[in-house]
Amino acid sequence: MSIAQTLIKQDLVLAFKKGSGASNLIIFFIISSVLFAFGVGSKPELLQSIGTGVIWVSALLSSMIAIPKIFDEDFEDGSLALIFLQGHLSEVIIISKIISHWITSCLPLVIITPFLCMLFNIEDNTVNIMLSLTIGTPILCIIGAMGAALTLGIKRVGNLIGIIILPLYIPTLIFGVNSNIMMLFAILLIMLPIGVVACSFAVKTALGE
Amino acid sequence: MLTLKNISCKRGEKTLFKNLSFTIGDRCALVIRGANGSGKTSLLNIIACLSSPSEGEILYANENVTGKHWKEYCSIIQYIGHKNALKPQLTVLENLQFWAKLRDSDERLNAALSFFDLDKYKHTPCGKLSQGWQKKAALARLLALPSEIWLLDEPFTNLDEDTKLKLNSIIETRCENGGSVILATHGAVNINNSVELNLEDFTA
Repeated sequence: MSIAQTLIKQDLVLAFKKGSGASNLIIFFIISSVLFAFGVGSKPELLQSIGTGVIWVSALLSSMIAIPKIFDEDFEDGSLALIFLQGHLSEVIIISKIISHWITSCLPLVIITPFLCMLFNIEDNTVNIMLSLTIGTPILCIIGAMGAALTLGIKRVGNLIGIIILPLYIPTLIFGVNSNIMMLFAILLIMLPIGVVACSFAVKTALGE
Repeated sequence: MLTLKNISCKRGEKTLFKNLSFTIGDRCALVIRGANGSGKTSLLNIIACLSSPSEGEILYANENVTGKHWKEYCSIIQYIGHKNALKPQLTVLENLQFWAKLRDSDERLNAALSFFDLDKYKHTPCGKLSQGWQKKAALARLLALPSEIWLLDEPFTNLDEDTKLKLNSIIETRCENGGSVILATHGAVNINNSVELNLEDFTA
């Protein structure tokens, strides 16, 4: 089994044993979307026009909840340092962490999106929204990982991660809401190497402190 | 053979130690001593390549460990730090298996568990164990995974007297079998043929 498979499997097993993480995100995703629907009223045309945007913003906010956990738990219990000391490429370790975070935190949101599309009466657009979220949420994970890595080891981080990453989410949000798959794919290809190298550098710096 | 050449370590404006040089050969144990904050953990982190020294270099078999030989160097060191690197949700065996998979070696897991009397707890989640048993589970990595140099940061903390003696014995056995051990501790240690290094001799 490769290092990436081992790390991803370990993270998935831990997420399964902890249990509540993904369900909390799903509940938050649903509640925040429903609150928008309650807030703007029950006109079907209005719900249809804002539906895609609401689902995207809710997915974005939901994905933010788990971002500190990408590296923080491994850092606190000493695992992260030892994983980096096994002699494997740090970039592979970072990518594995981002993939397992996406599977545990974003994939469940993509899966329940059809339910929210029904709520906003935009069933015809379900496939497009799911596709845009499938490509867009990995970008959110990469940007989130950068924020988590930059603040690793800092006590009382508070809202610092949000301040760092929310402005960087804007292009992904714009192209995601418009279901511009090609642009999302281009952003993903650009952000992947940048994010992974930045995370690797930031995590190494935090481990050396 | 591991050689540290003119190593200096700064944290902010403070110099923890400077011009630290030593060579530790095979079959040797080095005990690092020093007051709180003197840089024992920082030195171990530098030796483990977790952080870079402000000055100086580390050579293993006369090659700089930070360059192309880093991967090879990582495969021969085993670091047990202050933190146990155990997942509380996973059992002792699952924790050890994870580290064994990262090193492609799971042949010695059961022997390592038996040595530290962890057989009865191997299917118990680490979060339900006492601090002492968690430390034993972390130390079991030393025997379970192949390595030549052990880096141990306060390894005797939270251990009962019997386990301290066992740890002493495996350190001595390790050295007799050709390995090297570098450990930082405050407590009294009685390891045969060990050499002591006091970091306060290298403070600025």
